[in-house]
Amino acid sequence: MKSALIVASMILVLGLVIVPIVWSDDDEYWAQYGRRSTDVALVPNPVYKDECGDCHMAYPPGLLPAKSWKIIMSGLEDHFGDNAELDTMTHKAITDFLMSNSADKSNYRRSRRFASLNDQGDIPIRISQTPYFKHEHDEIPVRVVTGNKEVNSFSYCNACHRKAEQASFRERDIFIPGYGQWDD
Amino acid sequence: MLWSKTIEGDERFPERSCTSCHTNKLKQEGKHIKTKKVIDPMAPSVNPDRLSSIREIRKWFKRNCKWTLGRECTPYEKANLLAYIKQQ
Repeated sequence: MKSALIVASMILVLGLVIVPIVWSDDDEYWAQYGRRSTDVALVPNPVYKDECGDCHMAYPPGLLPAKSWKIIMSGLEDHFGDNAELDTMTHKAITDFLMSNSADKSNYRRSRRFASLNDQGDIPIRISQTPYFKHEHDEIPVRVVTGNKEVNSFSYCNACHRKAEQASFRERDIFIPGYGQWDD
Repeated sequence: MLWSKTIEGDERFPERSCTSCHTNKLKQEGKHIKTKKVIDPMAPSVNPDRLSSIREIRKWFKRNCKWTLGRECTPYEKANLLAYIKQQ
């Protein structure tokens, strides 16, 4: 009888400890207890920050696979409608940086997901075209992003992901202007 | 003045001008027409960084002339633009 009670209380205690871990947002759990890196890598690079960050947020390279960066870097004369040409040396330095830190070369959990593309699909040249991005944003109503004057487009990560420039996309850091925190 | 001249673009940006991003008030901040990122003032009187690096001048002339005019600026156009910005 006594041992049954001990077993029962052990199950109860284990349940109290384990259930919240299993049910909690895994981002939060791994960020707190750290098993391996959860998000995308923060890889500071002054040249990249200067050259690309002059016009837009310098997107962490771990948000796209190498084959996507390769296409983007081969068409800077028409870079989503803007001219973003670089001199040969800078172009090479930035291409090398992006290729060696791309999503498919990263061990970070979120990068691994950005790296997994549909086999039959085209190679995305926008982060927002990747299957993982679409999956993560499929519950966001259009009105809070493209219909929101303070956000305008899914391209402006840092409009809502307030730590995007630090390569953190955790749910707790999301704040949608005019709407508040996002909880799914 | 080339700075405020409007040039015909394409369907994405039908009208293009230096002022599309930098505005006509060079002492004030501008805003990138597409990304909406704030651009520091062009006037050297309020932003001493402007016209301080030959590399930067070359880089931006090349990119921005091509976007705005669809071609590189001539040396004459560049000289005029530099003189105009310098006065601000």
